[in-house]
Amino acid sequence: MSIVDLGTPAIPGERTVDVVVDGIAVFVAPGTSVLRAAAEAGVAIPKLCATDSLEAFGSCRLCLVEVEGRPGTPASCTTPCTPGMRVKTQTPKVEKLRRGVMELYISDHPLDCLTCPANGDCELQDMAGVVGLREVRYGLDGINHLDAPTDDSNPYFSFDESKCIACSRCVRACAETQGTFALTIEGRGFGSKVSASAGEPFMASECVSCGACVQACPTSTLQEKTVIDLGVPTRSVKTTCAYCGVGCSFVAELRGDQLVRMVPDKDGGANAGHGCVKGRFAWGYATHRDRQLEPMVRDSIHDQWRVVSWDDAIAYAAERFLAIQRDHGVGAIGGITSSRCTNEEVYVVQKMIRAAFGNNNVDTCARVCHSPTGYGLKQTFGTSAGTQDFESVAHSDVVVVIGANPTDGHPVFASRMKRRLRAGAKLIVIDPRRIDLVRSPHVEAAYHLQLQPGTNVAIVNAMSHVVVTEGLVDRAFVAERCEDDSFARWEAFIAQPDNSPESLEAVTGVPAADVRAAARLYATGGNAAIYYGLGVTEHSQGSTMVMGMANLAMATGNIGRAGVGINPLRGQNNVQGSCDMGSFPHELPGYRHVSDPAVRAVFEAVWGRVIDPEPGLRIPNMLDAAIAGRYLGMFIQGEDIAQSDPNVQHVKAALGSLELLVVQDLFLNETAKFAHVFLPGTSFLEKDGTFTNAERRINRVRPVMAAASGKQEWEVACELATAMGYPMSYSASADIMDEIAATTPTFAGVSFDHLDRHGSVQWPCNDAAPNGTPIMHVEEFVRGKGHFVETPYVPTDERTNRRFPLILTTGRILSQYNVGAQTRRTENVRWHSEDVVEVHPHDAETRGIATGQAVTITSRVGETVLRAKVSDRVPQGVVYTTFHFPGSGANVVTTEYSDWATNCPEYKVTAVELAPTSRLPVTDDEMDAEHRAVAGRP
Amino acid sequence: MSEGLHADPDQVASLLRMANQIASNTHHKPHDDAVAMVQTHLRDFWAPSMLRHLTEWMDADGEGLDPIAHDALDGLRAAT
Repeated sequence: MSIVDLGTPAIPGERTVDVVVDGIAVFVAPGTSVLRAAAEAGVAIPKLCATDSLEAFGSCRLCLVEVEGRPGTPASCTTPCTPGMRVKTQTPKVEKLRRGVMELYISDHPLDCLTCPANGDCELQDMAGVVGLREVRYGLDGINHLDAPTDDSNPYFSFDESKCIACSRCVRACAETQGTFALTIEGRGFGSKVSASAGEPFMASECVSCGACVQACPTSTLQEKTVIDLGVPTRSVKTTCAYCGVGCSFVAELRGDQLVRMVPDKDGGANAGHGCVKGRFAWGYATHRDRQLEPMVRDSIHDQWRVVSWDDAIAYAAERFLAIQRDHGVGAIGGITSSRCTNEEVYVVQKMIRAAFGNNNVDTCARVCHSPTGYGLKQTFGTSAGTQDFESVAHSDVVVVIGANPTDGHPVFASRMKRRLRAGAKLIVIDPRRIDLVRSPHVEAAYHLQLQPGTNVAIVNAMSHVVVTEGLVDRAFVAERCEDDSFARWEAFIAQPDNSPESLEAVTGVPAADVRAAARLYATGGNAAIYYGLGVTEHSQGSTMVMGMANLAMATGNIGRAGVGINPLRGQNNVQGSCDMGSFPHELPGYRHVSDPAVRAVFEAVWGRVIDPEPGLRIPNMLDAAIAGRYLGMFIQGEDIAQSDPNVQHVKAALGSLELLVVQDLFLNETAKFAHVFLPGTSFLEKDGTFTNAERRINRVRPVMAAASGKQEWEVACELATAMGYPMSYSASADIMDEIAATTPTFAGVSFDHLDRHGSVQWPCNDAAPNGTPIMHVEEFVRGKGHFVETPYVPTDERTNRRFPLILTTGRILSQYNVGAQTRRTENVRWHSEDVVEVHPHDAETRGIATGQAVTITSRVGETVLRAKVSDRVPQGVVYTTFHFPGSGANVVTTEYSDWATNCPEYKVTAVELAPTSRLPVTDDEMDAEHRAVAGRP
Repeated sequence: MSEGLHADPDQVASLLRMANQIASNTHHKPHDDAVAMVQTHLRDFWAPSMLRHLTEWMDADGEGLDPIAHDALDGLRAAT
């Protein structure tokens, strides 16, 4: 597909340099290349090694120009404009040179254009035409690379070395864009060739399959296999990725209705043209054979499913929900919204629960990930969201990563972060595990505070103690921007000797000197930004830790400008949005408490129903009430709580107690085993709506193909509400956003039209900020003055003992996503086909455990079997696993403990013991076969 | 939630753990301030049925309930 490429990156700055290109005057910023200036003037200079996503390289010699008053024919890509420069791009001299260069390229290139997968989408082919190549005087029989082998090891793209022109765009993309440095040019002169790692196949190399090299390749050397199989795309639709909270914009490229490839959108505010192995390649699940496309019902979870019509399924669900309410009260039913669904879908489900169910028993999967973020940032800053845009990291001098693993969990943002770190920003990592960022190519953390799991609050208190007692507080910022009284209380609290690094060293396991040095760096190193993930929130003091980080940022003045801030890296694509849309049982859309009569009145006027002024049940309280026989009906939108939530024995007991469970999903997941009604969902390629990413950026999700089930998910919720006696309908999802904007002040300026015009906006988006708010709390905090909160460290009740002497903590891996429902149904299993448990060599040795060996992991609530991987990434006494496969049962062993303020589960701290076993882990195939058997499918 | 049923022991155990955990995060405060904080938290985030079940159990038994949580529940009852 044709994409405008201006040749070299834009240079920020005022356009003060006047240049004349082929008689056309243009003003550019100082440092702008002649190639780009020409492109901006509408003059396309031929090029091959240059592209505007990469720094100029000057190797292909195709972009040669003549400059008045200067000798020679400089490469326009590496020649900066100077005032008054007059450039000629089409002279007999440069035209002859370009043809000569092209002749050399073509003399060593297969002339198979008509059968080449890139035919019609090849820059080499285009440039041959542009320079007027008519002959190859050297012939085609000289020494060449035409027999070079093709590397097909990667499941998503092939590397056909015979077509390589050694322009280095792939090598530079791997370095500059992705920051992995897996590719190089091996050899010299004629022997130069692209090499992955040390001449290995791509799959055996350090390549992370982000696809930046494929996108950068100007020929068919690096080519998506879908393009080879299906042909060059003929049309495109801009949409948004459905994986992590980075929320990358993509151009979905199709032939007819067949999706051919996903290309990261250069104009995407979140990703600026970059992608990862999930977003770019792992979309095959959307059309996987496991998708359940027809509604089904059954009277008992022990029965076989019956395929029914949509009308019958909705009528069945509505009748049974109403019967439960008649027999057990209005509050005996509720539901869960999904962060994988659009804002519009989530809004409609919470509306259905509040208006049709008549209660506030609505919660969302953010309960188990970032609910402490919402609580903590609202208490301190006044709103439940991160403070910065992603671009902000380019202005950071100190980056603190706490309880997050960006290169695996948020890889596209990690690439931005690594770019800044390579440019000199200092890095502090606070994590029990040695994540890749601690030491990776051209990046090394100044400090890795390898704390004991569960001691985050002790560490942040110790850092704040250093700031306060060593005179590092930004007094001017605090005096102007924060509350005097809460700061005074906090200052006195944090200065207590109990909070010193020395006092807490025995608790955290981190040398006090390192904590002091890290705190000094954070406070005095310039713009300091904190990025954090579930390693902060999923603790018994997750909310306290969020407030502790906010305290630290306010005390040092690291809030309210580019390069600083408190930045949650959200786990799922629409965690921010699902929370914004009123998915919590105590809040209406826009984080406004249900007890506020003025807020209720806004919604009551639009919805025509009285809203319950009391908070409803959270997910764990719903489950407890289900077991107690008080909560009997549940609607679950796009979540698999029987796999993702902690202590799954308890979850399954609760789900098994329900009289009616309605599951809306793509697949018959673990939770659906307990369902009575299954309503088919839509994949992100079918949805029409918006996602809101971790930087509050609202992006359009446009339908790439028709809904395979025949209905949008919001239509289903509307029909269910209507069948329950509350008429609800919209003509299009745009109308739902209009209702959100009409009722929610932070979304007041948002509409599909506005998004289509601007690409995306970051809320708040209203009259005061019609184009959105990239950075929050610039002049003042949302709540007015910043509020300091005392954050005493309270150890978790989950303790190691003789029976369970190890601490299990959990995380993600790059190629898989969350509970794996999507990525397990793609070729990404080639990188990670099962979860393993990492164990320190000492702990392995004392238990007789070797890498690859099956081990039992036993906690006080359950036991599962995984293969071990002996690794010194984890400290002694700590073991680590991922939770991407249902058979792994990581949450069989996690406990009921949770964050004190929000009930976010304490996934990161579980006391366990490991022992070798002859049992084998349950495989994914075995789990899927079980599902198919239940569904009565082969 | 269905009316007229008393909370079952597992549900009470869960509510008790939650209430005590909230209280334990206020122990650095003077008693009255801590009670006020817990009260505010329970009022803002707990469903009325949860408060009712724990209060009923407190009246009948109450062993193991943090005094701050106890006083917070008492205060909430008085306010309603």
